[in-house]
Amino acid sequence: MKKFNKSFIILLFLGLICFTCEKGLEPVEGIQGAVSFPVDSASGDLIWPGPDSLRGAFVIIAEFQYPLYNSIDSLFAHLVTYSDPLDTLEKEQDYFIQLKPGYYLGGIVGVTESVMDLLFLPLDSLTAHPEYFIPIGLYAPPGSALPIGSIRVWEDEITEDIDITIDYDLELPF
Amino acid sequence: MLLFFLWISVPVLAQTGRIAGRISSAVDNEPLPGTNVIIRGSLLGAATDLGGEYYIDRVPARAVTLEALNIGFQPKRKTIIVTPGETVQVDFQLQPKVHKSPEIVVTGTKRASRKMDSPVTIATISEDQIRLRNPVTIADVLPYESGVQIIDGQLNIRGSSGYARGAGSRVQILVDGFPAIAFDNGAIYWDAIPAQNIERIEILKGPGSALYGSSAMGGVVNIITRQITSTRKSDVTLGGGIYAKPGDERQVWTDRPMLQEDWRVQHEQRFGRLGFALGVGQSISSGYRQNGWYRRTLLNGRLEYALPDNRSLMSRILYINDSHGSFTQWCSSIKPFHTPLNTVDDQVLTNKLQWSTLYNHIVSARHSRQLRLNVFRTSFDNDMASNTSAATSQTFSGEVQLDYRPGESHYLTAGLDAGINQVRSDIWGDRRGTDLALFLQNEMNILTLIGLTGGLRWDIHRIDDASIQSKVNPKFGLTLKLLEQLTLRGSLGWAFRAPVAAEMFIETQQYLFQVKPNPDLQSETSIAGEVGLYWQTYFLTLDAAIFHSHYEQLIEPILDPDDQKIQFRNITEAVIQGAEITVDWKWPFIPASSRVSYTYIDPRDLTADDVLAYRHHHSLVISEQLILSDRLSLGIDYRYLSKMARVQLFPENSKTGADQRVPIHLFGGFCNINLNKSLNLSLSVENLFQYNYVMVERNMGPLRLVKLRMNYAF
Repeated sequence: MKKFNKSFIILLFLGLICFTCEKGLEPVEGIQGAVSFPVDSASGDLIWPGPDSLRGAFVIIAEFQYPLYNSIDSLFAHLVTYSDPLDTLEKEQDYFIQLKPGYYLGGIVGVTESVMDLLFLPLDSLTAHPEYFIPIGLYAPPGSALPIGSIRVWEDEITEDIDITIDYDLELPF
Repeated sequence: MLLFFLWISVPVLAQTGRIAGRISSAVDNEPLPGTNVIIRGSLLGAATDLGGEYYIDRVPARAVTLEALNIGFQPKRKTIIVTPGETVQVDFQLQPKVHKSPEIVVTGTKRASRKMDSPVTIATISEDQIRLRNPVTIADVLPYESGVQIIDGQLNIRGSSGYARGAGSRVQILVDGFPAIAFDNGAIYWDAIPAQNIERIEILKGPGSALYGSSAMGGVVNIITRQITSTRKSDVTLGGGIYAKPGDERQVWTDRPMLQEDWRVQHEQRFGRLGFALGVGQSISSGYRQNGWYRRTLLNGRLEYALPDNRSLMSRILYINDSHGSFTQWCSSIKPFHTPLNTVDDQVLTNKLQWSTLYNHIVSARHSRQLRLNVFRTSFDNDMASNTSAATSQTFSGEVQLDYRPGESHYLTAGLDAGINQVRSDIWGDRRGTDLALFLQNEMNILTLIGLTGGLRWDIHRIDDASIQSKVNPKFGLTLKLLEQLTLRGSLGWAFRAPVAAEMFIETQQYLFQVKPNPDLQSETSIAGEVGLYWQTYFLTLDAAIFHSHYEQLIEPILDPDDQKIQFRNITEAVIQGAEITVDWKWPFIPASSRVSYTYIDPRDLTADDVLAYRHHHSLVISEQLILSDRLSLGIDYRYLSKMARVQLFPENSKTGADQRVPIHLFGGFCNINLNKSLNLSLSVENLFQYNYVMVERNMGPLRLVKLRMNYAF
C-alpha cells in the first residue's frame, strides 16, 4: 500500500511534468542589424533631424511583392510592423524585429508628428496616414546594384546584418 | 453614542484573579507556541509565546472553563476556580493529531473566531509553509494560494486588481491589522512587509470594505507576526541564491553569476512584563535580468509591555532603505533579459517607515477595547532617462475598536477609524487627504447551528478640495453548521475603493509610456456574493465556493486612442464571477500531505463587451509535502495559469508572431533539514524547468532560482 501511494505521487508529478514539458515561449525568428545615421564630415557629429525637421524615426517592414511598390502609399498598404522609435542621439544602433518566415522589404521612415503620439497606434490607423512619414532609408544587400533588396526570414533563424543607412535625400526607386 | 457608551462603560468586576500556565506536547513535552487559550463564554484569552507560556489577567473570580486550541493537536478543556487576587497555574499537555482542531482566524470579523464559522472564504498560510519556501518577500509565497496572483507586484485575489504597475491596489494589506498601503499611489511595497517572524498569513477572499474600508474591495491579506518569546533568543539567518542562465545564448545579458544574497540578525528578550526584539538585515541581488538589481537594508524593532488588569501594549517599527534598477520592458524579444540601451542606468531609491502601536484592554469577560495608531511613510526618487521624479507620502491613522458580548453567542464590534494623509510629489503634486470611518458588526449564533453576521461601515474620503466621497458599505453573512465538521456559508457585501492621488493626478513618462491625469475620477464600487462550504476531517479539508462580483465605475488604466496616453478611467460596469475549490489531504500510511486548489474566473468588461485585461481564467496549484523524519521534509509545487486572455498595450501580433503569450506552468521544490535544535537548512528551487513566460507584456518571468538558507538560533 505504501509503495502504491508513493508510486502514485511520483506518477502524478511525472504526468504533470510530461504535460508541461514544453518550454513556454520559444526562441523567435526575425531580422536584426544596425541603423546608421549620417554624420557631419567635418565635425563628426550626428545629423538630426535633417532637412524635414523630423521628430522621430522607425524601422518599418513591409511584405515583399512584385511588382515593387510604386509609392509610399502602396508600401504602407502592405506594412507588416514597425520598431520602437530609434534613438536619435546615437550614430549607430542595433535593432531587432520579430517576423514570421517569409520575404520582406525593410526601410526607415522619419515622422513629422510626435513619435509618442503614434507609438501604440494599431497598424490600420498608422497606414491610414502615410502623409506623416518620409522614407529616409532602404535596405539593400551589400554590393547590390539596386538600392533595394528582399530580406528572407527562415524558420527558427534570425536573419542577421540587415544594416540600413539613413539618407535624408533618399528617392524611392520604385 | 454606542461607541461612547462601550468605551466608557466601567466593568463591575472587583473580584478578579489571574491564570497563567504552559502548554506543551504530550509526546515530548516540547512547548507549543501560538496555541490559543480561551476562557469559554467570554472574550478573555491569550496565545502562547515561543516558550509555550501564557497568562490571562482579570479573570472573574468564579469557576471558568479554559480551552487550548492548536492546529494538529486535540483541543483540551479544563474547568478551574479562580480566586480573587491570586494566580492559578493551569498547564496543558495536548495530544497530537487524532482530529484536527478548528483553525482560528481574525481577519473575517476583527476578532478571533473559528475559520469554519466564517461566512466568507479565508485562506491561511502557516509559518511552516512560509519557511519552507524561503521567501525574500511574502510576494514569493502568496501565489501558492489558490486564486491569488501577483502580476509584476500587483496583488490580485480572484482577478480583482488586474495590472496598473502596482498602483491602486484593490487588496488591502495589513500587518497585525495595521494597513501598509502607500497613500499616494495605493501600492504595496513588498519589501516593507515583514517576511520573517510571521505566525501566519490570512487571506480574506472577498469584499472587506465593511470592516476595512477602501482598498479592501477585492480582499484582505493580513500578516500576523508572532509574539516575543519568553526565553532569550538570538537568530542569525544567511541566505543565498543563484539564477540559471537563459537557455538561449543570445539572451544572456551578463557573464557574471546572477546572485541573490541576504543576511539577518535578530535578538529578542523579556524582562518581566517587558519584551523587546531588534533586528537588522540586508538583501542584495543582481536580479535575473539587466537592471533587475536591488539592495535593501532593513531595521525592525518590537516592544511588548504587559500592563496590569489584562492590558497590553505592543509597538512595532520597520524601516527599509532600498535602491533598485528599473526594468520597464525588454530590449527586444530576442533579448528579453536586456533593458533598452537608453534605460540601463535607470534606478529608483525608496525609503519606507512603519510605526504601529496597539493598546489592548480586555476590560471584562464581556468587554474589550483596542486602540491602534499607525504611521506609514514612503518616499521614492526616480532617476531615469525618461523622467526624474520624486514623492514623499505619509499617513497618520488611528482606530478605536470595541468588542462587546451581550449574550452567550452574541458579539458586537464597533469602531472609529480616522486618518490624515499627505503627499509631496512632482508627478502628482502636493496633496492632502483625510479619511474618517465608523464601523459596526453584529454576530449571533442561533442554537449553535446558524451563524448570522451583519455589519456596515461608513467611510468619508477626501483628497484636496475634490468633492467629499462618502460611502456606506453593508455586509451580511450566514453560516449553517450541518455537521460538527461541515459548514455551509453565504455572504453578500458592498465595497468601494476611492481613487488614489496617483490615479487622479499623475502626469509622467516612463520609457515609452506617457500617463495623463484624470482629476474627475470617482470611487469604484462593487457588490459581491459567495456561497461555499467548508468540511474538515482529520484526513481531508475541503473548501469550495462560487462567487460573483459586480463592479461599477471600475478604475482601469486605459490607452486613450486620441493621444496614445494612458489614463486611469472609470469604466462603467464589469463582472467577475467564478468558482474555487481547495482540497488538502493526508495520505494514509505515508507521512505525506497534498493540496490541490483550482480557481476559475470569468472577468467581463460589460461596457466594452470584452474580457477584463490582465486576468487568467484558470489557475491551479498542486503541492506535495513528504515528511521523512523530524529532521527532514521535502516537497514539490506546481502552479498553472491559463494564457492571459487580454492585455492593454501590446496585444499578440498575428502577422509577425510578436508579443506572444503562453499558459504558465511552474514547478518548484523545497527541502528542509533540521540539523539540530538550533540549526536549520532550507533549500528551494523556483521555476525548476526554466519555463519562459510573460505575465506583463515584454517582461519575461523569472529564470530558475536555487536558494539555500541557513538559520541558527541560540
